[in-house]
Amino acid sequence: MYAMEALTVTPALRIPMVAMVGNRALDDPGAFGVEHNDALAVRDLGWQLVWVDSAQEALDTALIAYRVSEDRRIFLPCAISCDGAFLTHSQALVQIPSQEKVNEFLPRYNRADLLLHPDNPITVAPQGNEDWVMEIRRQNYAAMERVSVVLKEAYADFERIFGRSYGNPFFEEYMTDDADIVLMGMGTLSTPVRVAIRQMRNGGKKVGFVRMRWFRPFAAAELAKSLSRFKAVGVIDRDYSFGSPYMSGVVTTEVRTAMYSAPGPKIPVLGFIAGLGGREVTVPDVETVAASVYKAAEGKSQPLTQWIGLRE
Amino acid sequence: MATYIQIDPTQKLDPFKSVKKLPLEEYFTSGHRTCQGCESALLMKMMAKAAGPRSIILGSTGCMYVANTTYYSTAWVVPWMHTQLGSSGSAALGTSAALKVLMRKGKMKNEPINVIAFCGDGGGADMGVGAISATLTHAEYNSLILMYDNESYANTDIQLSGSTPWGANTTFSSPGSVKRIMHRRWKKNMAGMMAAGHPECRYVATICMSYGLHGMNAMRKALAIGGPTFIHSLDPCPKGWDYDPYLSHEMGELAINTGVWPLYEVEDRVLRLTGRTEQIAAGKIRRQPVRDYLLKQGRFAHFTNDDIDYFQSKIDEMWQKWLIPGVIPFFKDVEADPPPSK
Repeated sequence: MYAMEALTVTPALRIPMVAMVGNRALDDPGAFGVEHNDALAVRDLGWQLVWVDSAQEALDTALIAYRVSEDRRIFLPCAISCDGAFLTHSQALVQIPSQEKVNEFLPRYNRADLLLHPDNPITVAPQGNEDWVMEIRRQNYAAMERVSVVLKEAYADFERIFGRSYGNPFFEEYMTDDADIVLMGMGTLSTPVRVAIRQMRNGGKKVGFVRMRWFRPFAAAELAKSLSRFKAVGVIDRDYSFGSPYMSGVVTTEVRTAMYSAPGPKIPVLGFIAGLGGREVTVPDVETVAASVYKAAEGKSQPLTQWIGLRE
Repeated sequence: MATYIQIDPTQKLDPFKSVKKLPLEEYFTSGHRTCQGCESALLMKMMAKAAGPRSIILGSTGCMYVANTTYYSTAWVVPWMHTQLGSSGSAALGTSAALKVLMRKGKMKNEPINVIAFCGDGGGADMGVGAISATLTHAEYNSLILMYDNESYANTDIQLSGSTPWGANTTFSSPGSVKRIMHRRWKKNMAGMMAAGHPECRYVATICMSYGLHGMNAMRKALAIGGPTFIHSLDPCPKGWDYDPYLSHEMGELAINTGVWPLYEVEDRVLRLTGRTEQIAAGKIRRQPVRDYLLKQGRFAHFTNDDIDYFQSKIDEMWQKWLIPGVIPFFKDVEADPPPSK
């Protein structure tokens, strides 16, 4: 508990910290490779969570994260997740914006009447019990609700100032316009997935990919609306959630929750655990996933959770 | 000799000449709900008075957090922020580093601001040792880490800590008919550990509010000297130690006069015994028997004469055999050390 406390108090104190997380498998067995559980561990606490899949996106998202977090309407921390090794230890050319443009995009951080300074003798974070805790938590709830609005403003301004458009901030769609089935995932598994999708399309299969960016706040309504167009969804989780409903990964379970209240008929949402500890998600792996999702789309029963690339 | 450390100026905090010369303004006032006879609350009050209004206080979880600052009341008239149980060191370092860089970048008016992070013996000497240690190595950042030692995890109803005296009755070490002494660990030598382990730390001291002026002046010295500093205060606790609240002041005096709690300071690596401890060491007054101290507290009510003798022998050992009495527990020769068998 005492180790976790530092992570819980950051949103509780309304600290607009932006953390760059190099997702790495948690101990044990201390693998160096990527798993998403480290950042996911704080998903209930009030952190904004976003996954990027390129160095450019990491840089851009850092600017956007400061803009949103330091907005007085928000004042919540943001953790930007970059896949360990695959993203954190790779090199790419990026466009670094000028200081003038950044200054235009990022107003100066102003903590106003919440500043801890002798000129402002306030007591920050007094202790509270059952008489006040619900109201204090509700304030964080309201702030997180406002993130979607502020996020959209930030992305619009980003495009205006820096000339780079990310389209829908919450998730990126790849070849989904005419897709029968769609795959989902976060982080750099997008690369083999996109390669696999192009190959499958060459073979006549119409597969699309939705890459989740913002995991918190989770754009449930928007995602459900988008996914309702397809016959089946396959979510690739680079994480585990032992004991979860149907033993599915975290993202799968959240997508299923979003889909539960989606309009229209129920769509199969299959969960796939892959790439743990930095094991590569290969193009054949993706094809295996797609094949199973196709079967579900055809009405054939498929397991709700499957482990891909596992030595049996 | 080149200096690589850039210490920012500190406030001018001269020692108070007498109790009558203390400022009247209270920066720790009503609004707390500490026990009658709480010496830790007295410590907070006098610390705030000694430090003055241009201060930022970081309070880690414990009695001095919950009893002083439960919403929606606070006793602090200076800026105060909560930090986690083992995080007093981190909070001190983070705050002083943040102030330093904000001033350097011109984002904050340049002025010396006292940074004081307090911790209990549980949060400081147990959980927080790592963070405090790290902070004491950062010679460039001015702060005072103030540990109030009531010899237990008091806020959760008195559980033993690494600073609980041998044999004391706590909820985790209650005496029984089969096993009378459950807590068999000797009290950690926290102040000595901090002084010996951090050669660049310019000030470490032990104090007790029974000698309030001495304690306040130690705090002033710590805040004025520059760099990270550490003060360990022994705080008699009527609830944890089980005695009538009006005896708190006397209890502190007894701790010192029996030699159980040595008063000293290490300033720029020079060790000085202070107060009554200095007089005991110089032979000007005699050390009182620890029995006078122990038996006034209910937490030692189960002690047999053997237990008291053992306790006395350890205190004698501290005074007669330690390399630096009261401070550094190294012997010249190794000896056997058997406590009572039951």
